[in-house]
Amino acid sequence: MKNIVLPALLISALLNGCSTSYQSTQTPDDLYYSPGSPAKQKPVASKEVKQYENDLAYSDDQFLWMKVQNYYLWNGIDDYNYWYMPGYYNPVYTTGGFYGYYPNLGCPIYSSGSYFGKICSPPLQPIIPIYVKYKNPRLNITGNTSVSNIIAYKNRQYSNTNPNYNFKNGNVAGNSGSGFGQLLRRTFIPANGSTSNSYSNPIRVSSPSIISIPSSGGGASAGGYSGGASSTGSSSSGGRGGRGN
Amino acid sequence: MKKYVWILFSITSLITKAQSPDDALRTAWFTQNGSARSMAAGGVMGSLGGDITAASVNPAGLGLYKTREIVFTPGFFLNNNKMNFRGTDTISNKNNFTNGPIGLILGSSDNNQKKWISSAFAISVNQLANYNNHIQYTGFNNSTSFTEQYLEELANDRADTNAALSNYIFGSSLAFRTFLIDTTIVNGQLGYKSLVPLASPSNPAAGVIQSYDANTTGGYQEVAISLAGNMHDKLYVGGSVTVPIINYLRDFFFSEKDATNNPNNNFAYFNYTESLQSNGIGVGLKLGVIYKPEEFWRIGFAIHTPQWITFKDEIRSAITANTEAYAGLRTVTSDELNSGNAGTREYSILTPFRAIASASYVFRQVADTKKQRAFISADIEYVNYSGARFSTTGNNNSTDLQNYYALVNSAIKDYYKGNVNIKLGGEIKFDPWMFRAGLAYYGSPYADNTLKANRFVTAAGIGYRNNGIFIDLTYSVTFNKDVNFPYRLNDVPNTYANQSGSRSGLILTFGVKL
Repeated sequence: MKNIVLPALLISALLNGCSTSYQSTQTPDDLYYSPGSPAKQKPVASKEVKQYENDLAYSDDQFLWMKVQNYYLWNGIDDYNYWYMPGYYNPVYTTGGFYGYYPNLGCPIYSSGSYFGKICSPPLQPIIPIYVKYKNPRLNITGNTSVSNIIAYKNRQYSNTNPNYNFKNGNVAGNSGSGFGQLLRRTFIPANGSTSNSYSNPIRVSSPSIISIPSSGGGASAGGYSGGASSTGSSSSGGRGGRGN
Repeated sequence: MKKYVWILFSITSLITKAQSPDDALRTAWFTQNGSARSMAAGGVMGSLGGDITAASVNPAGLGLYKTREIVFTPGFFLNNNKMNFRGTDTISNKNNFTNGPIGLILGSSDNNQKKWISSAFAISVNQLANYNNHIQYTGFNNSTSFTEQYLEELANDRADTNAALSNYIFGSSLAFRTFLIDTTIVNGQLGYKSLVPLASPSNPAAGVIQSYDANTTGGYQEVAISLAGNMHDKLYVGGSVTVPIINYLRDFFFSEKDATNNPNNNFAYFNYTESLQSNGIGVGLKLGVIYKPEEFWRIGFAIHTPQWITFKDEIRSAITANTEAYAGLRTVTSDELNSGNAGTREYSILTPFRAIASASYVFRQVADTKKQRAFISADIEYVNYSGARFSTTGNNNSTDLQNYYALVNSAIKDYYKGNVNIKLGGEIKFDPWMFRAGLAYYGSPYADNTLKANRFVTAAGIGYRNNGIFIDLTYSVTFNKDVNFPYRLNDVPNTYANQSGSRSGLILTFGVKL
């Protein structure tokens, strides 16, 4: 129960405490228009201006509603002057908030302190996309850096089907090309003809060949790195023991 | 003495399979996350402003604020993944909680005598990407084996048995120690073979049942400290200093099982398990402008610089293999070979650059909320996925690692490309209620057109704003198409699973005007 009470109290405090400024006025929606904090808002527009706004808005709504109901009938009288008539919808902004509407003088009107006049912006310039070119010099790979799993990202040959084998001629059906022949080449079928080894195992042979295969056991002595994670502490690098169970 | 020094060096600097281009994509290819209002409109926020999401998209949008508000955005997602791997379908689900923007915006309009008539400061936390997911698939494969990547690694390195035993303790060494792979001689040449039986003309029924299971958690949270200015309600300029914080955990399981159940072919099954924990923190910049060329219209432009993120990873892995009469059942873990410690790696990622262009039509930008009627907005975003870059960090600055990352970066440039994301959405307002809908399309990051990938978002929502508070609720469905490679090989055609399915989400934004 305590788990519920505390969050409830917090939410209640937020609702009743923090938002008191807007409980008696409209809650501003900054996406459309931000009037500033209530304490700094200028007096609302005069009754005449408000009535003027309401009339315009009502007319807009009525016309839009009629146009939705019958587009072809009402679209014919959708003249330019209706929407762009002088005096229609030219908001005047002040630093403190919205003040009202003034006749269309061609440019928005701003009032800031003692200054009152027009500000005409230059025509909108097209935005030129910015392209950032990355420059990472490729390094020459030296030493035994194991990167086979990374190089494999450059292999763009794919096969998501299982090939069917043609018993008569020993070829793979439906997989000509696309490098699949390499798979047969590298699979290993013991040459002794043992029936128990009639399966194939993938193999990879180094080229040039590995110089020698030391006996198992002891620490690491050859090979390379495959980049990335380093282990800490001492490695238990003993052999893997014999194959016998 | 020289020999002992070399051995000592080898056992204290063991390095294994590490970062891949896939890791880089995780920090770049995700759908836009934001407030419920923004999400319902398809994620548009490049030119709208007046919403906390602007901090993560176009900070100039914060310049529209002259008021103050605090915002919370909890959410809930359901992943529904459909995987097709070599003709076999698998479905997996996972639910998870998420969060959109949580933060505080402080708008101010005190500068009465100045050109900049108002400004806004904001601090927010937004989860840009949610990594909670469960990808699972299975299928029959008679062509290639997971173990072949180990053969390639050892053969490519010309590793002798001592190296095979000890230098690759998170992969190849485990396979070698469990006799899943072993040395062999072919035509007098030494090499490595896998015990996994594949099909051949003499045994066409051979092959393995492969199973892939990756359970991931975590997310990409972005802390944004933003500042924006408003010039005469005409031009808005803003910027965010971002701190990406990434937490990613992945429990990975992969197995191959003899499809023939032949007890005499030296292979029954193997299981590979891997636990990866990756934590990163970094810094970046997001800058933008919004301009109102005329009443109703807004155009916006923003750039996101590459985010410089430093990671520290911990990895543990193990292999259990049953090679029947060959060597029986064996299990080897990386912990056994590393004194019980996880492998660690530290590196940095520079995420791709982004650029956003946007336009909005906002009907009735007036003070009286009863007359505010609607908006429609569209964003187009360019992301250079091939621009992600790995680099060494801290003391891990050896030439070998630098070479390794140079090669990873080369693979990223080759494997990915730049592409665009398009978002479109709108709102109709009947104060205090608002109704919204939106769409978004995220293009493929892969350079190879054979690999089909995209994300398509549909969303709808409702909002209420009155008495100093606002509540927005959005339901969105993201249809995913992607590919998933269980492993990659060099000299044979690679296999991958096709991913489809969706992520549906419910997002709630609750805000209070202060």
